[in-house]
Amino acid sequence: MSEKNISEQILDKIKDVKPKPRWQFLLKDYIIWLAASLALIISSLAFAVVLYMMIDNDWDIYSNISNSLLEFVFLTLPYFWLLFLGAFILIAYYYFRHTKKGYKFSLSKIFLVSLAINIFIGAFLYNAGVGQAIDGIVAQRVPFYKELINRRQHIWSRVDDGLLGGVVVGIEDEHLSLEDMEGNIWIIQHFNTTTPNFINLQIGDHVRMIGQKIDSQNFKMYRIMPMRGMHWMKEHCPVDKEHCPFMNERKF
Amino acid sequence: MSDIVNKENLSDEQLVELTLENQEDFLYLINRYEAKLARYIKRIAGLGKEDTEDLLQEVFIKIYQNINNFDKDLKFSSWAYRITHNEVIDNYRKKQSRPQEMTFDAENILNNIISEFNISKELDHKYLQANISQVLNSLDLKYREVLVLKFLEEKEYKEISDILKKPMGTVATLISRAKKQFLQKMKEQEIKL
Repeated sequence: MSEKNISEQILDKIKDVKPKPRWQFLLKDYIIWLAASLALIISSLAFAVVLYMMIDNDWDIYSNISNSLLEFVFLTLPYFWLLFLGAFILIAYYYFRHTKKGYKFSLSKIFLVSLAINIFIGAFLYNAGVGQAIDGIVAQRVPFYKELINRRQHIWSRVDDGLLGGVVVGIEDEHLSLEDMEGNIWIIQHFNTTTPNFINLQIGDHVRMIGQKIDSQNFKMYRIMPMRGMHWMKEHCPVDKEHCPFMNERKF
Repeated sequence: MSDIVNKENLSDEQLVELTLENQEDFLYLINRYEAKLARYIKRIAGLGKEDTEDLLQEVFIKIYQNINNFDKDLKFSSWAYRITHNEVIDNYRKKQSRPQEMTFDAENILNNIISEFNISKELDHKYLQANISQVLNSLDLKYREVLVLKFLEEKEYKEISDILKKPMGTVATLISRAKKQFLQKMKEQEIKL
């Protein structure tokens, strides 16, 4: 078969073939860019939740919760959201790599740029309260979220270790009443009546307490602090919901 | 006649524009790239003459079908080589077979390899010619491909990056690893340098 024959054969074969229209390629490019951008936005949302869970954490009393700072970090790292963030950075990388010029950039460059965008948008979303809102929505709608993903509720249910969290349902001269996160009522004996946290205490406040369990209904309180993070706890408010304030709560 | 001469002097990009208006003008691009792409297919896929021609036809049909997707920031040759590369890989996957033994135009590759790999020029060329094809055949496809593009097709790093759709740094790494594997295979096959 001569070279001329090949040329002719090709021309013969393409006689009935039309080039694919330009809009098809443009549409494909736009879809890929859209997918990459969506993945980047979703990873930024995940970053906002990570920031929220890291910042609104019990840093002020980590030594009461864990033996060391490192242990506390490992205990409270938002593993699920970090995995979610990583997965969507990878998805964004995959789609960006498939854009027309995406192949020119190395994995490390795309990863660093994605991370920078995540930090920038994620910090903005965190400040706007989006991280808190996502944590709250997911906690309400996803079964096992509180048990497996945001496990801080578990920390503040460690009554045997002297950690008790819940809502103040009664304030008397000699004791407080507190409903914990499982709905049990505790009688709280207190001594430190001069701290601002205690003086300003109101019914409906969500609080963290460090102290000592006396028996199945009584708890001796050494320190009281407003609850941080876990804003979905507001849903669990045995008194008027308008009177269940939170520290660092962001209004929308 | 003068029209034909004029069109033969046009750039690839101008011929692409003409092809979009008139299918017949695609012939100029075919004539310009037929031999180059056929040689490239032979070099990386090691197909026989008929299979090479069949694949070449597929390549040109793909080029024509996708001509609206030609990115003018690229050289047309890089784009055409990229489509050829993809077709060879597709063909390789469909048939699920390793590329066959292939013969290289050993004189050409020899000169390039001698200068690139610091091989003594005093060595018997016939001896090296006889063995270099054998060494290239034994390389992994990804390494053989970059060596073919760099030393036989004499493409620049940027062109190789555009053809293989890999970052320039990755191309440099692949070439470096390919050279290492090439030298290692030469040692294994007891070919004296």
